[in-house]
Amino acid sequence: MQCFGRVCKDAWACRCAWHGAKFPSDIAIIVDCAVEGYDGAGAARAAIIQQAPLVRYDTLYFAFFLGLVWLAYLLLPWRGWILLAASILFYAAAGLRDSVLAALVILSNYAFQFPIQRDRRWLYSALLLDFGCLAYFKYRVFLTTSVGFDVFTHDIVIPLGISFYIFQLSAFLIDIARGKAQPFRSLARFALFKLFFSQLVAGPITRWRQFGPQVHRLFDGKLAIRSRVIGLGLGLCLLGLVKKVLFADSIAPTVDAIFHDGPAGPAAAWLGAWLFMFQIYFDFSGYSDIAIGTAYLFGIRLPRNFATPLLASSIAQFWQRWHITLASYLRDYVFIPLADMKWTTRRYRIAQHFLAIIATMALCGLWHGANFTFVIWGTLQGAAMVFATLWSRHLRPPPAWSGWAATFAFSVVVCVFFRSPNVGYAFHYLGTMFSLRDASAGTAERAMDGWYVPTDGMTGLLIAAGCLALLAMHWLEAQLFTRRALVLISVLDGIFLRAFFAGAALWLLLLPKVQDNPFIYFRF
Amino acid sequence: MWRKLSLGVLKFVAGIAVATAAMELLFACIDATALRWILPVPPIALYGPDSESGYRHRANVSGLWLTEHRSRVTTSNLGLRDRNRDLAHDGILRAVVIGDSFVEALQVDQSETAVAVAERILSSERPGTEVVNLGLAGARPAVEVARLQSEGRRLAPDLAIVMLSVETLLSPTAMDDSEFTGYRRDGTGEFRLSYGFRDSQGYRFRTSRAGRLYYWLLDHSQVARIINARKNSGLLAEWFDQAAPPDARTEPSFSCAPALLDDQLALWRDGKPEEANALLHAFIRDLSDIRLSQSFPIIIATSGIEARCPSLAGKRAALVTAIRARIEAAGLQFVDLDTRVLAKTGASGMARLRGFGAGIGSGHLNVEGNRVFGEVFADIIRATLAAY
Repeated sequence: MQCFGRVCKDAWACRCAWHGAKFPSDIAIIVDCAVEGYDGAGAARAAIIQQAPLVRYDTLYFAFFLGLVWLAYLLLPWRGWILLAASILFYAAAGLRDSVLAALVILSNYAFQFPIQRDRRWLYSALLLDFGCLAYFKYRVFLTTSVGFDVFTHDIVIPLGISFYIFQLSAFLIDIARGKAQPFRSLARFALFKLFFSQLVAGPITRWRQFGPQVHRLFDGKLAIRSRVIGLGLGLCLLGLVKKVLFADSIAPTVDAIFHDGPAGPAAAWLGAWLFMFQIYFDFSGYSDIAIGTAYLFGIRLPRNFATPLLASSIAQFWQRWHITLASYLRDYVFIPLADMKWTTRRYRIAQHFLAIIATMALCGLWHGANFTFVIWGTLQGAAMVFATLWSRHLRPPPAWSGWAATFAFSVVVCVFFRSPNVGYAFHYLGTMFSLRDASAGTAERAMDGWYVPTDGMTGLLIAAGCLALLAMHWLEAQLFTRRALVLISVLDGIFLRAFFAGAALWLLLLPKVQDNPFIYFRF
Repeated sequence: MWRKLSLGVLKFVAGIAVATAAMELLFACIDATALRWILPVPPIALYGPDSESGYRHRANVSGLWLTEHRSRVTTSNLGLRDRNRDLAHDGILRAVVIGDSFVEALQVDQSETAVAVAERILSSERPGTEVVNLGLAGARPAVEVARLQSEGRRLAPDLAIVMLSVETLLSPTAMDDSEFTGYRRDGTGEFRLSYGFRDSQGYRFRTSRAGRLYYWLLDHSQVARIINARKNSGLLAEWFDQAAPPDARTEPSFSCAPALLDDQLALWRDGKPEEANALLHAFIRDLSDIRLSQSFPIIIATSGIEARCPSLAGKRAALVTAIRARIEAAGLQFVDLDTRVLAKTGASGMARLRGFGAGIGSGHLNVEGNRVFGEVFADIIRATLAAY
C-alpha cells in the first residue's frame, strides 16, 4: 500500500512510516517499529541527510587540483595567497550557501578576536554565535523534535565541514581569551587558518599553536618546503588511499547490506559490527593521512589524528589514539572546565569528575550526528571510561592482552549505535548479536529475512580469516609509523621514491569506483 | 647539468614503472585469490566489436563483474552470455531469448541466469532441450533485431523470445546508430536498420590489428583494464556522478501515478508520437520478416508495463489489448511478462526480485528474480512449442 510516499506492506508498516516521518524522536514507537522490522524512523533519519560533497580527496580531480596548486606553490612567490586562493576555490565547490556561510563565520570570528583579547566577556557572544550557527544548521530538527516541536523541514543539508571549522575557530577564540593564542591582524591569514583545504572538510581540528605560526611564516615567505618530508607526504597520501580505496570502500557494501537487511543471526551481526569498526577506521584515518600528507607537500605540519587506536589496551588509551584532535579539544575545552567547576564539595568531587566524563563523551557523540544513537554511543564511551577509572583505582590492572580484547570488543559492540539508523534498530541489532539463535540453518529462508553468513564451511573460514587479516593490517600499519620506518623513508627519499608513491596513488585513483562511498566523516 | 636532469628523469620514470608493476602484481594477486570477492579489481573487457549489432560478447572471456553485485562472468565459445555449446543441434529443440541486461544477467552466475534456469526446467522434462541466452546489455530494439537476424541464422533456433522493454521505444537514442545498430529513415522515409557505427573511429580501431592487440592487453594486464575502465567512465567521472550517500537509500518504491501508462497507450493505440510509432512499426515489421525468412515463431515478451496498480487496471487492459493487436497482426506472438511474473510472486514479492544487498528492490534481477523469470520463460516456451 502507498503510505506517505512510501510503499508499505500493511497498515502497521504504514503507521511506522508515518510515525517515523513525523516523530523521529519518539523512541517507543521507533523501537516497536524496528522490532517489527520496519524502518520508518530510519526513513525519517534518511531525510535528514548531509550532502555528498563534491570535494573529495579520493578522486582524480582532486589529484589534478593538488598537482596544479603544488606547481603554482613551487613556481610562484606568493605562497600564502596561493594556498588561500586554492582553499577558497576548493570550498566554493560546496556551493554558494556553504561558501557564504563560511565567509560570514570567518568575518564574524575575525571581528571577535580583538575584543576577546581585551575583554574575556566577548568570548561568550562569539561562542554563542558560532555554536548557534552549528545548532541551527546541524541540530535544529533534532533539538526541536526532541522537545516535541516539529517546525523545520527534515531535509537538512549540513554545510560542508561546519562541525570541524566551528570547533577549530571556537578553540582559537578560547585560546585567545586564555592568552594562549594571538589574534590574526590580517584577514587573509585568518581566512587561511580556517579555510586551508587540506584540513577544512574533516579535520584534523588544529589549534592556533599548531597551525597559526605556520600560517604567519607562510605569508612572510619564511616557510620553506622541507624536501625531506615530500616523500613522507606522498607516502601518507598513498597510505590514506590504500586505506580508503582498498579497504574502507571494499568493506562498505557488506556493511551496508548487513545493516540494511538486518542480520539473520549472531554471526552476521558480529561480522557487520566488526567490519563497520574497521570501515570507519580505515575511512577516517585514511582521510586524515591524506590531509596530513598533502599538507606536508606544502611544508605544513598538521597534527596526527590517529595512532592505531584499535590496538589500545584501555578505553582511555583508545581515546588518546582515535580522532586525537577532537578528543584533545573535548578534554581541554569541555571536560577540564566541567571537572574543575566548583559545583560540589570536595567529598563529591569524584562524582563530578565522572559526570564530567560522561557529559563530555555524550557531547562527543552528539558532535558526530543529530541522532540519539550518537548520544548513546558517546554516553557509553563515557560510562566505559568511568568504569575503567574505577577499576584502576580499586582493582589490579588487567594484563595488556585482556585490556586490549575488552577495549576492542567494547568498541565493536557500541559501534552498532554509530551505524544504526535509530535507537530501536540498534537494540534489535544488539539483541541479535547476543542471541543464541542458530544462524546456520535455513539459509535460503534467512536470506529473505536478513543478511546471513554463508553456511559453507570454507566461506565461513575465509570470512573469519579476512576479519583477522584486517586486524593484522592494522598492526602492520603501526609498524609504518615506527621511528625506524620513518628514518628509512627519509633516507630513501628522492625522485624515485616520490615517483613510486605518486604513481601508485595515481593508479588507485584511476580505478573506477563501483559504488559511491563518500568519506564518512565528511557527513559530520 | 644535462646529466643530472636526465638522471632525474630516469629515476622518475623508473619510479612510475615500479609503481605500475607493483599495482599489476597487487591486482593480479587479488584477482587470483578469494580476495577478489571483496577488494577492488579492474573490470574485465566483456564486449568486442560486431559488424551486425555494433558490439557483442567476446568469446571465452571470464572475470569479475562488479556493478551491483560481484559475480564471476563467463562468455561461451560462441561469444554469448551462455554456456559452451555446439552450433549444430540436430534433433534437439533450441529456443533463444533475446533481450537487454535483464536477460544477460551479469550480476549472477551463468548457471543462475533466467535463461539457464529455463533450460534446466525444460531439459528435465524433455532431455537435451536448449535455451540460448542472447541477452546483451543496452540492447535497444534495433540491436535486438540485428542480433536475431545474425544469431538466428547461425543458431537456427526453433523459437525466439524477444524481450521488449517498452520504454525503449520512446527513447530518442533508439535512432542513434553512431555506436550500435539503430533505426534511421531510408530514401523512402521508412525506418531501416542502420549501421553508421561501422564508419566510426572507435569501431575501425577495435577491428584493426592495433585493436586486437588492445584486447590482448586487456585480457592479460590489470593496469590496462584500469586504463580502459577509466577511459570508459571518464577522467572526471566522480565529479559528474555524485551519488547519494548510503544513508540516503530508502526502500525503493514503484509509482502508480495516474499518467503512468499514458505515453505507451498513445504510442500503441493512437500511434503517437509519429516518430516512435514509425520505429515501432519497423521493429515489428523486421521481426515479422525474420519469422518468415527463417521459419521459427517469434514471441515478443513486453516488460515495463506496471502490473501492480489496481487503479490503472482499466488503462493497462486497454494498453495490453493494443499491444497484442499490433503484434499479432504481424504474425508474431505476444506475452505480457509483467503479468506472468506477478502471477508467480504476488505484488509484494516483486520488489524482492531485484537488487542485491542494501540495494534490494531496485536494479537488475537477483538470483531469486532470475529463478522466477526462468520459470516464466520455461512456461512460455513449453506452451508455444506445445501449440506447434
